Amino acid sequence: MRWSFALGLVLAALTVGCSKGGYGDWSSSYSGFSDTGSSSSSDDDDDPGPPPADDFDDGGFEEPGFEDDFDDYYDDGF
Amino acid sequence: MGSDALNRGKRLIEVEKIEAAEPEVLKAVELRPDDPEAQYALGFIRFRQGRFEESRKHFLRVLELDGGHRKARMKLGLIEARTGDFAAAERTFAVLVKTSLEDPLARKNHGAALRDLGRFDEARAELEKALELAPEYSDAHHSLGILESKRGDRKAALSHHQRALELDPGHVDAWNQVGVILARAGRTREAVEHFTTATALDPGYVPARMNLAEAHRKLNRNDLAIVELKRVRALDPRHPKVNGKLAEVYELSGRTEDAARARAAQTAIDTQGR
Repeated sequence: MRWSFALGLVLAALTVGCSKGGYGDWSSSYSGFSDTGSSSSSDDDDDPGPPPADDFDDGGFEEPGFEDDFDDYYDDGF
Repeated sequence: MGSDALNRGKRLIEVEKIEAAEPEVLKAVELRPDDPEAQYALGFIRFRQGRFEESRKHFLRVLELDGGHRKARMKLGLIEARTGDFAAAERTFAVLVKTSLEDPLARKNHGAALRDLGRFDEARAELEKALELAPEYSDAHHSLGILESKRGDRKAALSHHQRALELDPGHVDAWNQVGVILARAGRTREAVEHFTTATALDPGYVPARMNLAEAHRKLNRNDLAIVELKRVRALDPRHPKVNGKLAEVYELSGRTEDAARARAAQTAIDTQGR
């Protein structure tokens, strides 16, 4: 049930579009959607597990190498 | 005459023709230097060009001429925050909150500045106030998620970012942050889904693309990691880490000559600076 909801969110996200980028900070030189990274690839056929939700418990484990983007100062345009 | 130039410039800004607007607005400022709207328009152009110091001067001038100019004060706070002066940003947004008590964006940005100063309780109160004013304000939930991440409570952070996505499925930053939390917890495959969605929504969003590359690398999908890293390099050729990461993944793939080239490019950037 929750997984269906998460998939719905993904589809809705792709439909709704982007909420950030109003400053032109990000280059538009690259166009088109990413054609990589889908979990449908062959090494990823096992159950991906439940969606992120209230069952989350990382037990203090931290996989390194990932970076936050904490820039959340938003604007309301011209 | 000055007002004609300003009106032409404003119309061009509104349709995102910033470079075309610049000569019109410069002319307007030259003819009417004490017109706050002309100063604001020039400040906005400099802001969009990333020329923050010049932009700041124009917004300060606007506020000398018209202390109640909300948008100039908002932009000033954004510049202060984005240049890392959170104390100044907090003061600027605090004035904005006092003069616009019912403005959720002012509350949200003030909360973010308080949070970035480590004043978490005050920040939470301000962000919750923003949500009282606008209960479906996804950005406020996202900011609360960052607050909880900074406090070290990943579960609470995840909950806020997920709420942001329920309210706004196009919230690119929230997709990325959920991905980061999952990836750090070792849920790499789920993280890939989130980073992929973020990059699909905004193909130029470099942080999510870097995280997607790292997730592919951890799943031993080195070819896919290389594709993503090359895309980052195309978007931002002087990115501070991309060539080093690319060198690592080339090494893992046995592509030693490519690795050497990427490492040399990284060294050049490290030496010359960005």
